[in-house]
Amino acid sequence: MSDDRTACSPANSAPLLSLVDVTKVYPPQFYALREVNLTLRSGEIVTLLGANGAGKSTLAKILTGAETLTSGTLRWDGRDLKVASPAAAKRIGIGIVFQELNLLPNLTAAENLVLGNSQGGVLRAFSAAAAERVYERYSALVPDPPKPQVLLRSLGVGERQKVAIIRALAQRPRLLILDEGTSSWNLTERQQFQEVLKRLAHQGYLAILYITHFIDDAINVGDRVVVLRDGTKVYESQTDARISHIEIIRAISGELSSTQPTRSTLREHKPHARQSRSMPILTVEDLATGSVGPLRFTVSAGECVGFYGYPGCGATEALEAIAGLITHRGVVRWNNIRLKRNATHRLRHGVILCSGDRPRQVISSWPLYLNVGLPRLFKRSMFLPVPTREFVRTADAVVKKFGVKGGIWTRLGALSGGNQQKVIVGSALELGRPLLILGDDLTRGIDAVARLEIHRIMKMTLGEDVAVIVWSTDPSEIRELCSRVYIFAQGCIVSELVGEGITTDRLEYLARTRVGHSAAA
Amino acid sequence: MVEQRNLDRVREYLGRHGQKLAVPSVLLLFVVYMGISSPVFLQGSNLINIASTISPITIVAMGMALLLISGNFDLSVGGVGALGVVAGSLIINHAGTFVGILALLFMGVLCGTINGFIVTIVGVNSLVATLGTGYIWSGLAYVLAGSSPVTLSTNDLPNAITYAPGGIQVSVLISLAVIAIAFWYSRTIAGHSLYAVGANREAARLAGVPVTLVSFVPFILTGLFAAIASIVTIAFIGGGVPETGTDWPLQAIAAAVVGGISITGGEGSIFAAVVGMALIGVVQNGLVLLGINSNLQTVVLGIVIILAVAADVRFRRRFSDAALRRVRETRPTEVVETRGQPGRITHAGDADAAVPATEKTAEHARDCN
Repeated sequence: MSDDRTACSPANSAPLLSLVDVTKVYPPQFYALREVNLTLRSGEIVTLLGANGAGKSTLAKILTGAETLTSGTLRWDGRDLKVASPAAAKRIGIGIVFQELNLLPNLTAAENLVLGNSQGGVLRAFSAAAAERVYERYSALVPDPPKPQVLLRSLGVGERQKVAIIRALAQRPRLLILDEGTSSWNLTERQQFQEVLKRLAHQGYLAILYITHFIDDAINVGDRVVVLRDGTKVYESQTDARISHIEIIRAISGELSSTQPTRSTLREHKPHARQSRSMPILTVEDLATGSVGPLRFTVSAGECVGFYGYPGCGATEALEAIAGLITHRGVVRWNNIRLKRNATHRLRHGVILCSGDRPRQVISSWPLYLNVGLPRLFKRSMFLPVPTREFVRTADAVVKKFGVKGGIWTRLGALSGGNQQKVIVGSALELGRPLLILGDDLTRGIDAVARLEIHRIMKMTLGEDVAVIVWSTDPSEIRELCSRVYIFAQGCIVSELVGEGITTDRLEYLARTRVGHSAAA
Repeated sequence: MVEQRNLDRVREYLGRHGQKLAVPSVLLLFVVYMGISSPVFLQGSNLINIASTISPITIVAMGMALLLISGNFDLSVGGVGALGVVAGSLIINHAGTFVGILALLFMGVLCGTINGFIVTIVGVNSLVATLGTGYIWSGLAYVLAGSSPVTLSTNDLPNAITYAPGGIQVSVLISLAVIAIAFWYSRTIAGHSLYAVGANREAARLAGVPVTLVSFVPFILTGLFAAIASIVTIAFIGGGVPETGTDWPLQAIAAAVVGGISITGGEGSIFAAVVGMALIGVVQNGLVLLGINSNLQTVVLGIVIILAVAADVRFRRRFSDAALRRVRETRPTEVVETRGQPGRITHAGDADAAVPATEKTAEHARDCN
């Protein structure tokens, strides 16, 4: 690898693109980017890391003309550059794969290529055969590409990303920007594609800006690693032997007090290796869905276990699979019962998913008491009358115990988000025992007071026959609630932290680790 | 004080149920107007006559109401009706009345099951799926009938259906029975989950409602009810013509929607569909009694349908606005409580259940101040 780099020595070539004091302010006073200086050379791959909201995507948008910069200059090939629009960026040779893919779902993969790339003018006759020829040529660069004739809407996110990359490459850009462009691929595919990128770049013509969450990826593919935090460039280093994961993670999280996780505090995830004092009440064996797993883990009675990982890490799918809401392979044992693969059966045994996605979870046109009754409906035979009195009684209990501000006859949509969330959690907790609560980003978008209240309620109800699993992207929530955390990345559990070992930087560090990293360790 | 409280209760009742009163009021107005302008109208025999005339559509409308609540349609009820009257008459002529009725009921369940399968399991949009199956059933009716109507060879069925114990015809009793079945079903857990599926399918799924099963059953019921309606129709016309039922689906949907069942699902009631059906029946009958040109009657019926639904929409908007205003008025309470005593949580739930919680919170706010 190092031979490769010395051979083409990109550092000596003239800069292709320079950013000088680039600043982006969103009114009234939010600095998305603050005086960022960055140089990209042909033949070089620069990787860009940073937490959510650090300014990575803003930078990409400025370079492609989707956003305008507030102050500072861009220089392209030694000349001042004004990127007026995405079309202009495309003309000068900047290609991008956005995080939110802008592809047309009702067209085939090959048609997307041509229509996103109509350089011959809108009136030029469209030829499906020509589109497919171009598609075939560039799809060779991507591992396991979708067929050109397949309709885009039938493809999963990972395959759409492949189409988007093929489209970007087909424009023969001089600068290629990948904004989380391969985040849904599996490890082998990512590694294969990273090799392709290195080969393309090191031929000397192409510069690549690779934006990612994963430190391992960043170091593997990049010639240089740059870290943004709160819009400022806080770290830049060549990827040589001296580069340090820990420095990067500190640069990303901004915590100076953090200590390096050592072997003794960091427990590698070994299923069933753990000797627990109490018997597990939930046992998950080889749970697998399309993009997740196989997962093996256990939860003891009275325990609150956290799932930590970035969106798309597979934790949500794992929770939905345990609740029986999506089809899965493998076995879920709960309270000595092997659960059937159907949500109604699982709910009857007290397994319930509580989502922070409230429009998905509640019927906002219904009064509170009917929403409380909703998960209780199918505890009985479907041809019995609706137990309205029981609903009213339970709703009363929920409102009292959990301090919901609103009456039981109030339309749920009229309540604030935090109160709606209390109703969701409250009605789950009133379901009966045994109870397994699966919290899917439970406190999304609610204020701190309501959030603490929900945490308090959940901790209060943990008991002999209650277990809780919560997925959260927020380290502080995990630290607050959980005694044990499984860290997810790319659909797998990569590590486990216990008790005092759960710290923000360890969570951050481990969630950014690639699957291969910990498996090899 | 007590009077004020009672007034509050009435206001709250109107707030919660007032939005449902629009169409019954229109029906009541029309009945009063007809009672004044035509002496015959309010006589028992005329009212029973109305009920009997609309009984096939009423039966169909009950199934349609359940389906609409769950967010689906069935346009094939007309096809089931056409096939039902033709095939039913043929079977009755060849194998007897009893076998014919059983075969018809079986056919209805079968047609409904096919619809349910295509919509809930294969996943075709219900409007399209039942449009297609409707063409198939009515096409089969034309094939079976050839070019001429089928005439019943025995009068057993017409005699039975038009038999009137205590002045009330069997056809009316059948439609009342179907209304009762639909009403009962809507009050069961399965029926209640129709509303959940219609209002928020995903929320229902997350709450463990077996969404596929729950949306499948109304298709079967609708098929069965359409078959029952075709039995009544055979008796009325003494045989079967393949043109039967062309206006069933839209009339049934009109009745349900006029009654206040949401076309997008999740709202409405069986009672509402019955009221809607009664309005249509009363208007049709009234126009005949008033001696209005029969071509013009259809025009007037259309106008009445639009007026009723428009009144319903306006009522709803008004009452939901009022409800929203009350909620807003209670908002400041929350702020006062959280700022003043962060540790203490007050709640409205300990109010006696009959008193609206929003009002109660407002009272609480007054106490605090």
